[in-house]
Amino acid sequence: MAKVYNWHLKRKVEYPYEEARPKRQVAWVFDINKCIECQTCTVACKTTWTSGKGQEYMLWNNVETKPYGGYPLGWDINILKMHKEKGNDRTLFEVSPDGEVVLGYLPEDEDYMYPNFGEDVCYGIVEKGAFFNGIHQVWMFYLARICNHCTYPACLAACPRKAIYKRKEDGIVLVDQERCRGYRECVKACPYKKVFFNAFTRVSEKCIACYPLIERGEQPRCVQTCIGKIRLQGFLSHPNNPRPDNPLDYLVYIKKVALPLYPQFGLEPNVYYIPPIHVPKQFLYQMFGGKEMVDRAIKTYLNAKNDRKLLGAMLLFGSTNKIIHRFRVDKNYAYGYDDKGNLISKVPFKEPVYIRPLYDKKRDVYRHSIP
Amino acid sequence: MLKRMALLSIILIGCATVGEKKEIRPSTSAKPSTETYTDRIISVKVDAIPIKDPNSPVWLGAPLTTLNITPQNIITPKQGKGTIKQIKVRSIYTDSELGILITWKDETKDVYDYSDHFCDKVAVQFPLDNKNLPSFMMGNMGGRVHIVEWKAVWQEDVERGYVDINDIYPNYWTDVYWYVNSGEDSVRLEPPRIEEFKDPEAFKFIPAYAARNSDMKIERSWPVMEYSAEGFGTLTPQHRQDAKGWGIYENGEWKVVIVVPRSASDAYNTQIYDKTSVAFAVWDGSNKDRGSRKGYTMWIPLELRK
Repeated sequence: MAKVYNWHLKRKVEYPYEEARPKRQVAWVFDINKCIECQTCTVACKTTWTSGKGQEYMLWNNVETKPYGGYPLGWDINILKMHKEKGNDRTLFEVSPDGEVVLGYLPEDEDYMYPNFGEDVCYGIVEKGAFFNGIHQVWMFYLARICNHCTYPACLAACPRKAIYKRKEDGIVLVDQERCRGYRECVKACPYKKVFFNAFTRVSEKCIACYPLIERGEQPRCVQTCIGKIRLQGFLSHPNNPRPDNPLDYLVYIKKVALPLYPQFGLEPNVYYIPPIHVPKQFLYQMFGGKEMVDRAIKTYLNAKNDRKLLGAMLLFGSTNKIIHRFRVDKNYAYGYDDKGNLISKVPFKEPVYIRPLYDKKRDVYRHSIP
Repeated sequence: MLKRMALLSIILIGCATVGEKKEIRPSTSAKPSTETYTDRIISVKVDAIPIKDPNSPVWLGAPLTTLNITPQNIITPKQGKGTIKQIKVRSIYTDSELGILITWKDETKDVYDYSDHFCDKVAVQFPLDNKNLPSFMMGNMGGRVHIVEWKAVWQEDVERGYVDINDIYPNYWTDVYWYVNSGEDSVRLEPPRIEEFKDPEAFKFIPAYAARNSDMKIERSWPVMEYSAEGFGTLTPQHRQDAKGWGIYENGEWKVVIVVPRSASDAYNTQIYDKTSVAFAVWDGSNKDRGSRKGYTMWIPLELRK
């Protein structure tokens, strides 16, 4: 195997192919503190891409409740357990068994039968009266998931037919629908279980990052439709050359407020999560790269109210359907610009408040409950 | 003796009704061959090949070759432990075609391909240049091979119609299959089958079909596909599909017939005059065999007995 640099792990890791980063890497930041699991993203994705034969069970985008939920069932527990047994200080490629490219498992049929398993289920029972005594210790949170369009995709590495490719121009990972023969090595290899086998066409399919939208400068459907405005899609620069005016670079590389999911697997995933602040730290350490990364991200997040630039970057979430390539803030607004420098978003730090009189003389009506 | 001949003729007439209209019999000998080999395949001449009848006594006129199967543990992903240890092969030919009957024990009949379930398969490989044999493992760069693959799920497709998602998961249902459900039809008591997809627009929502994946054929004449390859990962469907085949499962055994033209105008096909070589690969779905997770044989000489 080749040695490639993984900036999440800050070391060279094993991968079957040489390092070949795209010109720019498609990436997302999800602020899961704001997610209410309305599944609007899931439905938007479903109706856009997976309404066909054999796609009935597919959820390229899903939102699951942690700690118990997961689609397919127990995807994270299963791979974490396998990884631990092999020594989780090394990546999934570095602990691959003989005859395999990467450590992985093929979910069983039943694992796909319970997409809502554990939904809204808390970690424990809220004892009687606990809610009168301040913040109770029972927790849960929502984890929105799509394909991570990894820098070192396991699906791509495992495909013996080279039917999976990573686009040079934007790093989107795609399954060639003409070339795939349905071996499901990709399904087995992806630790996030975001490649799905279509039993009708007998080939595998996955999230395509809504590339027809991205190619015309628009963010994917799951981002556009998110009513909680928890998502921002853009492009990451090379990890050695972050641009402070690129909102993705700023949140991920510079402020380090958004963290990759299970970076210890070694795939360099490109969906970055602002960790939920109320969840026990040990749980988050396991998910988002360890104590140092999680503690710093939460501290930075909680301080956002005093950090105009960080707050400004986060205000741009869900403010436009277009892809924001550059941003800036001034005293009153955060501004987002497209790749040509056109202003595409302008969000006030403080929403203006209009107080209307109770009685509208012009229309001769009383306004009781209109904000 | 007369009684035995009469019985044999009944069997021969009986088999001729399956798939072929004319009577099929070996031209060289009506008696079952007693020859057995492990290092070569001897093909005997017949009037016609009973493609759809692996149980035809015509096949018994050809010598039996038993071949050991080796688990593919050369490249990743490896098979590990294989479940199919041996295959048995007989071959017959006509002026225009070469037929190969492959039988192997398999306790489980795996037909459908879904989730973590895989179908049973077998493939026969021919070299394009028998004088300079390429790698037995799917050829090599510049050493092209001609591969014919049979799949249990394709057999099902041909015999019973394309295996629909409804056959595997009867209750799978998407609210709307675009350009299929409309008007009164949109309120249904069961999901639509593929036969109800009439509007060409509806097929745009079936990605591999829309992308013209050659393996994804809703209409299929034979349960086999012809490919070319020049090494691992290079399997490429041929534009012209000349091969035929048929498979049956009975008594814990697959019996699969694969037939190729001896002299095809297709430059990607092998040309078989008096001898060639063949190699085999076999997959057990229950063992989660697929792709390179397979059992194989190396090149075996195949001789056409005059």
